[in-house]
Amino acid sequence: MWAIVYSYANNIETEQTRMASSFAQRMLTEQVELGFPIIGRYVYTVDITVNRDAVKEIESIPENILSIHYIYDMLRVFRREKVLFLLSKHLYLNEESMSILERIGELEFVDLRKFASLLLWLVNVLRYKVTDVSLVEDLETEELQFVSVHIDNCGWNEWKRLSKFVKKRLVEEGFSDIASRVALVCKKALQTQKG
Amino acid sequence: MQESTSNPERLNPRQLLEYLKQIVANRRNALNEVFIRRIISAIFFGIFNYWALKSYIKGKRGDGPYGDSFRFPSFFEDLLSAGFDYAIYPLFLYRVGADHYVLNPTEVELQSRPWKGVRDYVEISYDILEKLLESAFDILDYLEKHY
Repeated sequence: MWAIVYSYANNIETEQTRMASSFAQRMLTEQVELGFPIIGRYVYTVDITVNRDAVKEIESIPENILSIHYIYDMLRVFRREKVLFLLSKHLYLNEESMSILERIGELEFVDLRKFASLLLWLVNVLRYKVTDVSLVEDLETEELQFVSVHIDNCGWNEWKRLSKFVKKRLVEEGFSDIASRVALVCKKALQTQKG
Repeated sequence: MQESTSNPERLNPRQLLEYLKQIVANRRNALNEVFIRRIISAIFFGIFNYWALKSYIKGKRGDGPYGDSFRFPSFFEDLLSAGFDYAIYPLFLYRVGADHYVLNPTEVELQSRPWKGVRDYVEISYDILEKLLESAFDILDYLEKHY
C-alpha cells in the first residue's frame, strides 16, 4: 500500500525538481490557482484507505514520502486569502473552524502557510479527515496555549503513534514552531461509553 | 535557594503517581467524584511542577522575583514538540473540567474569546482517570530521561 505512495512520492519529487522553476513563475502570475491542484491530482490517485490498519501504516511509512515542505514550497508564495481558499476546498471545515483559521492568520500565533501545509499533508497524504480546528487558551489567564486539530475516527493507540510520527516529521523538516504550537486531537479516543 | 534548585528529583512526581495508580486500582469503588477531580488536578500539576523545575535548572526563566514561576505555553510547547499531544491534551482538558466545571458529564470549551471554538465532552470517571495516569507516566518517563 505504502509502496504505491512511495512510488508516487518519488514521481512527485522528480516532477518537483523538473518543474520547480516554472511552478514558481506560474504561481506568481494569474495562473496561481493551478499550483496546488497539481499536487492534489497526484495524491488523490493514491489509495491507502483499503483495509486500513492505521497503526501499522504509520509505522511503515517510508521516510521519503511526499514531504510537508514540498506543500509548503507551493503555499509560501500564495496570498493569505488563497491559502484559506485552498483549506476550505480541501478540508470541508465548518464556518467556525474557517473563521478560526482566519484568526490564526491574523494573530500570527502560528505561521498560516506552514500550518496549512500540515493540514493539507494530513488530509491529502496521510488521508486523515480533519473535522475541526480550534484555538486553545488557558481560562485563568486567557492566554493562547496552542492550536488544536481535531482528527476524525482515530483511537487511543493510533493517536499515540500519529502524534509522535507527525511531530518527528515536522521537527525533521524544520517546522519546530508548528510542532510546538499545534496539538493533534483524536476525540474518539477520549469518548467514554456515554460520550 | 541553592538546595532547592540543585536537585530536580525533589519535585519528581513518580512516587505520587505510583501511589495514585495503586489507589485507583485497589479502591476503585471507594473513591467519590471529589477524589477523582482532585487526583486529576494533582496529576497535571505534579507533572507541570517537575517540568518547571527541570526547565529552571536548564536555565529557562519564568516570572516572579526569582524567575521560578512558569506559564503553561512553554510547558505545552516542549511536550507538543516531542509528540505528546495524546497525553497533554487530555490532561489539560480534564484538568480544566475538574477544576472549573461542576456538572458531570459536561462540555468544556477551552477558550472564551469571540471566536468560539470546539467543545469537548468531558466525563470525569475512573476510566478516564486510568488513561490520564497512563499519559502522565509517559510524560514523566520522557521528562526523567530526555528532558
